[in-house]
Amino acid sequence: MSLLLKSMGILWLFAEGLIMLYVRKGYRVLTGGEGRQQAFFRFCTGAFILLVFLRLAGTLGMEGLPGAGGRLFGFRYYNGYVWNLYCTLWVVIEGVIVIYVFRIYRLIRAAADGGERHVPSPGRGPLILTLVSLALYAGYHGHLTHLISAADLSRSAVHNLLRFYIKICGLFWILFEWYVALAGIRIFLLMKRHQGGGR
Amino acid sequence: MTDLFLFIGSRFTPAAYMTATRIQGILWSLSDVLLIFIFLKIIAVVKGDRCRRRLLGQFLLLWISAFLVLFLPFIDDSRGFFILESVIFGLQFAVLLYSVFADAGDLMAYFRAFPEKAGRR
Repeated sequence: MSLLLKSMGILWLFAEGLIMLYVRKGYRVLTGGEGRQQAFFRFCTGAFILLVFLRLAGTLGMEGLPGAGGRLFGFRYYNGYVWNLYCTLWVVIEGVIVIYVFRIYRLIRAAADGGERHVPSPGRGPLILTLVSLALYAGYHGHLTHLISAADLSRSAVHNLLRFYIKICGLFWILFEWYVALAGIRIFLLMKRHQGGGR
Repeated sequence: MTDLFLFIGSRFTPAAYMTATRIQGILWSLSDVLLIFIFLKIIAVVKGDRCRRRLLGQFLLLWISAFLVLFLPFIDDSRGFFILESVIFGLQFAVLLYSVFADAGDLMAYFRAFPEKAGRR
């Protein structure tokens, strides 16, 4: 059971990442620009392998290696930091899904209205979202690391701060998932309206 | 910033964390149910009468996960909450991932043809 729970984060990351790839592919299909999908897929695969390694390193270092003393690379809170990195990446993935779903909706809407097929520019939204999220993660955990030694934070205070960060990410998960759900309803209604060639 | 961190570190107790987790867990689980429900409805539009039985199976898994969401408010410890969330997400992701593999081709073809199809109206 313990191993299953520890691998759950990896499974969720895999599932969400795969869904993001397919939503992105759907957008590319609509805009006729499927060429760069392979390079993006390879990048995501590489990032995923790295993240799995980071997670497994925590498990091995904390429990598998004799004499590790509950620390990895001399750092007691390694697993908490990696878990929060995962939480940040779920925000990034869901945010990227929101960006592509919004674009897909605009494309379908434009087509349904009979207007000129509008192709939004590629945009740097996903890249900006990724960089901002990772910068916030680094800033929060950098300051926390500084305080652990500078303010001599207790173990429970560190855990409270690590958990608080997860709840901040939770706000974004909720916001993004509700957005995608509501956009999905609008896409579904548009599809229904045009079902069977507009009968 | 340091004062804020120290404040959170002393006040955001495990009990506060569990309360926030319960509220957030219910909100995102409900959004997931709605999201996957709409996704399956979209698949149904794309596929028409094909694979009706399979879609019923996927809807059934979704309703089981929705039923399990009802138990989230009554779980008091974070481990139990995480296990139940894992089961709920597991069911929901299984539904989504199956469709990603089984229906992606039809979905892409549908969206590729949609502008022309809509333009014919």
